[in-house]
Amino acid sequence: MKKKRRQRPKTSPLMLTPMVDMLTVILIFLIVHYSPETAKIKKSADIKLPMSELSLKKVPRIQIEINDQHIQFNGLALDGLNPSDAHSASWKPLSEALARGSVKKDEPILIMADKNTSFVYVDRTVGHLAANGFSEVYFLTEQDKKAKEGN
Amino acid sequence: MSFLRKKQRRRESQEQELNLIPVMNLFVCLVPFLLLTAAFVKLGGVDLELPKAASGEAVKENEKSNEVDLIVQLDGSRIMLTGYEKGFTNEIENLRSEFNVDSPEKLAKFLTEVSLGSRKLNASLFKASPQTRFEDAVKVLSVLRKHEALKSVVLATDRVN
Repeated sequence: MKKKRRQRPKTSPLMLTPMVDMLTVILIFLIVHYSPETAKIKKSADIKLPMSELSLKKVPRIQIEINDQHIQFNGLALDGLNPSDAHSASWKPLSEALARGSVKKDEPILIMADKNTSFVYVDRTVGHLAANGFSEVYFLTEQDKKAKEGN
Repeated sequence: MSFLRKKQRRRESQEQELNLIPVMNLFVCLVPFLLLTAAFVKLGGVDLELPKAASGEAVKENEKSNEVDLIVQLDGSRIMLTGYEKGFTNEIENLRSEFNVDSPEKLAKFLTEVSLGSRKLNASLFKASPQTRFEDAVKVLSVLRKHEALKSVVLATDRVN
């Protein structure tokens, strides 16, 4: 009796070499652009930052985002605070948030705003920070491509 | 016969393929982590001082200094610069200038000319009108902050009650 030869199913081997090449290139690219400092910034995606040639050496812990409708403190909107209201009583939530965060007076504060935001809202926020005894602020910007190294 | 099979088995063991599974495991872990933390846009910042309740020492009248304090006011697209003797005491007439926010390099050039002259730049006080755009304010502040001769840039704000 003739034995039937079992035919092995034809399977093409998975070519991993091109995939590994591609992943190596992506990995090198991402390692070069790795920046743990900028990952700490909690910014809304729809904000377009103004341009500047200056660099940000250290990311402050306290981050305030300003627009014409509300103010966010470390990513959380401050309820009851409307930047268009100039009365100091309506800015209490900001003072309370700073007190809750145990922010030291000499600690720098990062201010983020869209480039088209009216400066009056930034001015009011900074004014209240100064009234609360804070002495240093950073305005977050997008670094210009013409920026020199070591700036 | 058995000798030929041994030789074949030896050849097969020598021709083993490179095991890429551990390498792939590594990539699958690293690539998503780096993608999440990748910064495709470089961020910068303009650092400023805020006015303090009692700032600086009072400059005595009989102490003459060649240091200059500047007040930079931004009103819409106009930059108005006024120079004062140290401590914002007496105005220096020939330092009063006006620039356009669209050409901040002229402001930078003016500051360089003043610092190369007989006077030294000390501090600058910046004030913007309410209708100013944040982008224009940052443009002027960047020029002031970037200038090596200016010791400090103070952001003047409206008084808060």
